[in-house]
Amino acid sequence: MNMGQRHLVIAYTATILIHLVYLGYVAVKARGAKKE
Amino acid sequence: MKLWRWLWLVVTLGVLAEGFRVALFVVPSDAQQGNVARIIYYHVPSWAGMGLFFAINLACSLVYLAVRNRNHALAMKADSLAVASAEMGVVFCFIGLVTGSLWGRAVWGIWWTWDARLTSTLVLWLIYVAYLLLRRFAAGPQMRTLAAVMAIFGYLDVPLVYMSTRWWRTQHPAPVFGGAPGSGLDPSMMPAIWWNLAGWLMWGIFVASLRYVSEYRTQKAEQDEALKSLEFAPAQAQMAGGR
Repeated sequence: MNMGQRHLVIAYTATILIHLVYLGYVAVKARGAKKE
Repeated sequence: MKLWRWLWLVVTLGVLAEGFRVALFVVPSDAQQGNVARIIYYHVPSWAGMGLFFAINLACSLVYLAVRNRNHALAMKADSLAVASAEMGVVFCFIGLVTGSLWGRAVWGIWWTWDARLTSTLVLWLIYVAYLLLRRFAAGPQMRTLAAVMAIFGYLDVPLVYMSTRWWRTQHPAPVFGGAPGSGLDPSMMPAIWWNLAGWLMWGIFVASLRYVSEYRTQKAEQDEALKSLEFAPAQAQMAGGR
């Protein structure tokens, strides 16, 4: 795997991970709002 | 979660999966950059998402300022949507910066440079992070009004970011979409753009709608709590006066 392919894979993985982290934050907030 | 949200999620995941397949395995690689140029299929939808959600944030902030003293229910909805859209925009903006930096390292040999496009985008991200921090840590009844005003000023940087590669010579390439005659992707690459654009915008709408619901519930609960304490206040005052 050359540098271009490696960076492509990292960029795709980072995109998905950042979205999942934010989704987790939203889920925590939703759980907190339901308890209120 | 309501049925329509589940359906929306299923369709969104399907579109994203197809976008992934088309971007990585169907469309040809770039003639000059090779496979690394496929980052564009995530990089461009992130900027589109950022533009959409910051525009929603601006619209909601304007609505909030217009109706906050006349229609509390609508103001609360607008403010809740403003928070949800600002957060989603910040996420998309951050992804655009990260994927752009990774792309730049592979093509330019550097992670970052202080050119007009990159700097104005970083400033935009920081403005909206500051907006969210203001909402998180400022107290008092004026916080939402202050945040709405800040959102309006913050949005002034969006056209600056968009026009930066047109107004100044930058390290960042000239606009691919809507640029000079002859610019743009080869038509054989466009399906990957469309699938990913649709998929990530649908994803953003899904997550922002969830966030909107929780923010609205929280604000409603806070308002109910405040109204309840107001109802008890006269009775408590009477009791205190009778002692």
